[in-house]
Amino acid sequence: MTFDELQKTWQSQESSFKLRIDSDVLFKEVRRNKKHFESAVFWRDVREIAAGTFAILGFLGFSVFFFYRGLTLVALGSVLAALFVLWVVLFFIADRVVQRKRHPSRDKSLTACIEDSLAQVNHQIWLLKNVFWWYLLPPGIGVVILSGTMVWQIYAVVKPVLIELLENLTLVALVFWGVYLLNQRAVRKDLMPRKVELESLLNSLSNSSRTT
Amino acid sequence: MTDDKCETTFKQWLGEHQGLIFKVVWAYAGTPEDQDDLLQEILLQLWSSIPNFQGKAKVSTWVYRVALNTALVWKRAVRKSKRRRTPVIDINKMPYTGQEHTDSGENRQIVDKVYGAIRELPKIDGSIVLMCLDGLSYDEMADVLGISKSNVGVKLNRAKKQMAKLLKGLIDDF
Repeated sequence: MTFDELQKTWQSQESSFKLRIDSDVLFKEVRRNKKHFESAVFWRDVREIAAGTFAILGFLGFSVFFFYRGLTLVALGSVLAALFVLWVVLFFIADRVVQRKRHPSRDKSLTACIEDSLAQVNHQIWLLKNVFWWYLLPPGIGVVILSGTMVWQIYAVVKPVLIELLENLTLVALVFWGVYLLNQRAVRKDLMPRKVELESLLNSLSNSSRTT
Repeated sequence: MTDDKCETTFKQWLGEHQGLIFKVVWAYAGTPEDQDDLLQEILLQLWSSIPNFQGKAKVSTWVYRVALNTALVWKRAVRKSKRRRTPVIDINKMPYTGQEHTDSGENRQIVDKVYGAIRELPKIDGSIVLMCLDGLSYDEMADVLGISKSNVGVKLNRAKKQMAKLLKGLIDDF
């Protein structure tokens, strides 16, 4: 068989495709999937923001509670904790908005499309690798401040305050360490292989001059 | 662009170029689940791309671009955590396996072998062979891939040599 004959055989597949596909059914399914995808993204954002808002309101509630009981220092600690959580929520929202604008489009050239996907994966890797700084540390500081002001209010003596604080810090550090490890595992298991795959695709598009 | 216009365009593109989409799906996804997943992902991306289509490229080139881009960066879904989508068509009951099909069994075997060979090639080379078999020009291939025409030529030569090895005995002058 020659290449031309193979091409004809290959292209003859076209005629048989048209026999059975119902465009209406496919269209309905595509629209359903699109709606499902958009709704999943929307509710994911709502959940994350709602959790942050709930924490902020909780800390603010604590501050009011402590303020009216004359524990001004603890109330101040609660406000600070709320501000640190607010930072995380604002970071979340800002990042989502920026990333939504940069969402890779599949109608560019393949090279541009792979570059976009790679940029997206690199951003996710950056986020997870630095999860300590933008996600764990701010509420961590908030919790330490709140906890510190509370134990100071109770004991008002340096030594027991330090001991109590150390216990609280250890607990928080253990929880945060677990969250950090989970994120680093996601980078290693999911994102790095994806990055390597996309980089290799990009390389194979650009390195043809050395292979003939 | 209004939703109605998008819908009309989508159905029109699907009617005219569905064969092209299915070829890409078959070339890049091996199992029925993956094929269904990739098909729906391509259709979703095609639908989203309609407002960006300005008519500068041929519709077939546009559809090819969206389908190939989606297939090449498509990530196989992890089934345990994935919402199962209703399969709209049984992709394995499509061409070359149905009763209505008019081509000979020999042609079916040849095409199946070509799909098998394409799946064994590196992804980019496979996409070039696919476009070459569908008769796209070097210009169109370069446009879809975002590389120069000469680069397409080099890659196509290499891919053809690999295909000739994989399809030894079937092709005389690849």
